[in-house]
Amino acid sequence: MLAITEEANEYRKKFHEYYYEKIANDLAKFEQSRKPEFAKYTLWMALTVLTAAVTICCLIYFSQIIPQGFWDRNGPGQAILSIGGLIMVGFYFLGVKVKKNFENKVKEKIIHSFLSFFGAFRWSSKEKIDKEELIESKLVGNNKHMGVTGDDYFEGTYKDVKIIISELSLDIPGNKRRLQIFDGIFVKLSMNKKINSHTIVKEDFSIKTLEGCYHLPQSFSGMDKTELEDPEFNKMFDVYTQDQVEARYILTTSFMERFKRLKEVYKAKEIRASFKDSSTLLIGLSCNKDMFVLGDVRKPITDSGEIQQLFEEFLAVISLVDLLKLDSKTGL
Amino acid sequence: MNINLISLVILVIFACVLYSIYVQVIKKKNKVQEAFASIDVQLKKRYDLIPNILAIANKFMEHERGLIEDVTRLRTEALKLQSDFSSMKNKIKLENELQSKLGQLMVSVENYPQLKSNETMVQAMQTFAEMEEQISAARRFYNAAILDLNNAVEIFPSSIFASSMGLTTLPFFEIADEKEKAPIDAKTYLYK
Repeated sequence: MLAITEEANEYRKKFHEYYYEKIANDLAKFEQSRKPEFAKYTLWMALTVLTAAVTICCLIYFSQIIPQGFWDRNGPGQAILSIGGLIMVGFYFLGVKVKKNFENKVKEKIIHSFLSFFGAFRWSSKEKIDKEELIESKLVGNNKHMGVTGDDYFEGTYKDVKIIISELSLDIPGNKRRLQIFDGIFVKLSMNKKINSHTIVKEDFSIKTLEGCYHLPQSFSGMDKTELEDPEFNKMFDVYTQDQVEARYILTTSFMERFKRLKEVYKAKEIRASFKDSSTLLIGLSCNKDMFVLGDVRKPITDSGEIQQLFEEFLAVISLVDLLKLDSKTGL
Repeated sequence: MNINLISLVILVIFACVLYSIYVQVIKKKNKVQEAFASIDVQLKKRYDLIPNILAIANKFMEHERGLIEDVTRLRTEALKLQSDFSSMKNKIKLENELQSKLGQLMVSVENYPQLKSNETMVQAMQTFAEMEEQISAARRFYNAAILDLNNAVEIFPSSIFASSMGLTTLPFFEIADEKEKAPIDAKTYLYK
């Protein structure tokens, strides 16, 4: 993700100085505690790999000794695979826990200094956008058994626009296992236009799995599918609305141009947006990667590449306000 | 027997196809009426706002009497027009003229610092700008509905149903005057 507005370039220049003034020293203090944590992480990951190797060796060895019925249901093959698999998963999760705990520890200390650069923002690892709100937005299907796993959560104001950023992973029950329907961030922004109805802009977000293509069930009853004046926009997105006039009030030709750029700028897999009453814009950017990482136990803490990546990702998201001109009332 | 049955099935399918075309034409006609009503609602809001703006402007804008009188006259004429398709062409012409005059008036406000800083006028101008956005959106919806209907009226086989129902093509809500299409030079209005 790279924010490419003029304001973004200004921010980059100022952040470089701010980092050395306010953040670098505090970050350096974590390097001492990172090493033992990294050792723990490496141990768990090594045990995971070792368990996998041992399991495979056992399977090969015992399948030679017991050729008859080895792979039968409830046979020795299944038992070795299950036990080995369970132990492997256990070791892996212990490693991930060490990594996550260290990240949270670093973030809790450093993130406030980092966010102070941007103004009045706060961070939480426990909060997330409400599941009911996501379902009401009609951007994530209407499955009540949808699982919502949150990671980073930011809330604040940028250029008088209220912003909430919530990193989420959503899944629903499938035929044999849970299907991931979204992995990325949802950004909630206050609109500069008063809205009384509900309009959705979405791409085709059917989920392609090994078993086939899964279409997210969603009812758009009470909403009309709308074709706007921009043929390229119509090709990229489907628009559903409760009010044809208000949909065009929000989706002006300039706004459509800016919205089309979002996918290109954020290199997102897909984008979806909901404009609902109380003048809120909810945008989902599917990125399929862990964002806002700080304090990766596997890299030196003082590696400025990590803080730079965090800065770029955060700046790119809040630059949505500049890109979509949500802070101004130009009528465009 | 088999031939009769097949003929019956073909007839039924053909009747269904004709019916669906008929329904589509009706839907498009109704959509145009809905879109027309939406514009009408927005335009009425504009007519209600105009006297407030003119009342404030009258106090301060001594040199714009001609412009103020034009706006008043156009508003009165627009209010007299009926809200139906028969007066659509006249309505569009009047609305374009009214919008042009109001635009000139808003630019001229810049010449009167007292008026520019008047709180009521500032609020009225913000409401006016908001309203113009709404009218623009309603106009776009109307034009989209008109395009659909005009296509149905002109393209076979829906054109057969359209002509039997007495439907004809309708005008788009667009700027007709070449002069009005030309970019406005603010200096013309600011430095008199």
